[in-house]
Amino acid sequence: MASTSRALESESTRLEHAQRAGAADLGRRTARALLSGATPREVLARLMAGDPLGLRARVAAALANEALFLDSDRALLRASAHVARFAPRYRGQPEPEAWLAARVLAAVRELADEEHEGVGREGVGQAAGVGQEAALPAPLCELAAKLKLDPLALARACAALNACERVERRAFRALVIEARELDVAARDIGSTPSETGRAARRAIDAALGALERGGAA
Amino acid sequence: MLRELARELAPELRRLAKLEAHREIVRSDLLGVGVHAPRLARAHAELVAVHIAEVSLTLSAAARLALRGQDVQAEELSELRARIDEVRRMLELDGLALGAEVAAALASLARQPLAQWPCALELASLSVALRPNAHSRAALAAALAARGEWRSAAAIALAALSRPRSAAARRRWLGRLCRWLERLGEHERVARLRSA
Repeated sequence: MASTSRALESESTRLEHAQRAGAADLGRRTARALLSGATPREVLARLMAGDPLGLRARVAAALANEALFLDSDRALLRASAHVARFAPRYRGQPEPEAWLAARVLAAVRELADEEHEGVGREGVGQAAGVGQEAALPAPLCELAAKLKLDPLALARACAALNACERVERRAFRALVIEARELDVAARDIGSTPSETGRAARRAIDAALGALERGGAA
Repeated sequence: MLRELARELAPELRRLAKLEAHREIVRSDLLGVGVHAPRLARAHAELVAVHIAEVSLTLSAAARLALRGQDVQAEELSELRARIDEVRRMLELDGLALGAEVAAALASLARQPLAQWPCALELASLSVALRPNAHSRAALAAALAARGEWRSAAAIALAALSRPRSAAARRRWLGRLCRWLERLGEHERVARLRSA
């Protein structure tokens, strides 16, 4: 009886492994089919038809990991554009998962850098810089209304946070946005609780300074 | 049989044409067409931005090689040439033109020996014009410094230091600024900057 159970378990494990390997193989083949044999514009059109590479989730993960406060939809479009532009360079190595993660991270950082430099169209910070409320992303305006803040001031606060060091942004996100315990946040960030607290404090000061410059609604 | 079918459908098709049904379907977002088209247009705008950033980065890299002149290794040159070929091919495939000056510079970089390339200052200026960022500004400041225009190079460093992207970026710009101010003989200022 015990040996039958062990055999079943072993068979189940084998099937699970085979399924996982099959799914990974299918993922690899799907990614290669989507990325190959076309111009960047054509690859982009493929990527925009229903998010076949799961870029939305990858962008959300990258924004969370970098603790950047950007218009996530624009970040998704930029990440799709990055994948499309560099698809002709992709020769199957590294594995699609790693390659896509690297492209998404590059796209998100590029967008943050452009915002810092004041390049581009309707970035969260750009509109704040030129004082054009109409150019702000809709989700930011909705959030500002809920928080009873001036949208431009909130945009300035986001830009100020994005200009902070990564460790400061991560500490701010963990302690202020996610309301996590200081010890847990410090462990995840890989720092001490006191340094995590100080880093969050610097980010809060930067955000408050930007909010005060704009004034509350 | 097809003709019969066409005859039967003709009045119905004419009626639909009068209603401009296809336009209504697009407007109603049925089939997702109405949503997809503007979204794809926004994605294309982002693709153009990525193309521009890549051309700017390539021109900055070329400016740095142009500064080094004789010192450049054959592998470095062939690597950059391969990148330039790819950049030009992608622009062409996507039907994107970034101006006559950029096209001429890229063509020259692809075909000419390094000694006949546009000068580093020209390449870096084009790079900054396309995308003013840390890479392009650093290339421009280095090109100016190489011509002995220390004050212009220092001005770029000072502007970058007024809004550094990170502590690491601040350190890099501060190091450059101090080097160029030293060349201008501003030793006291350098000492103040280093101690600040």
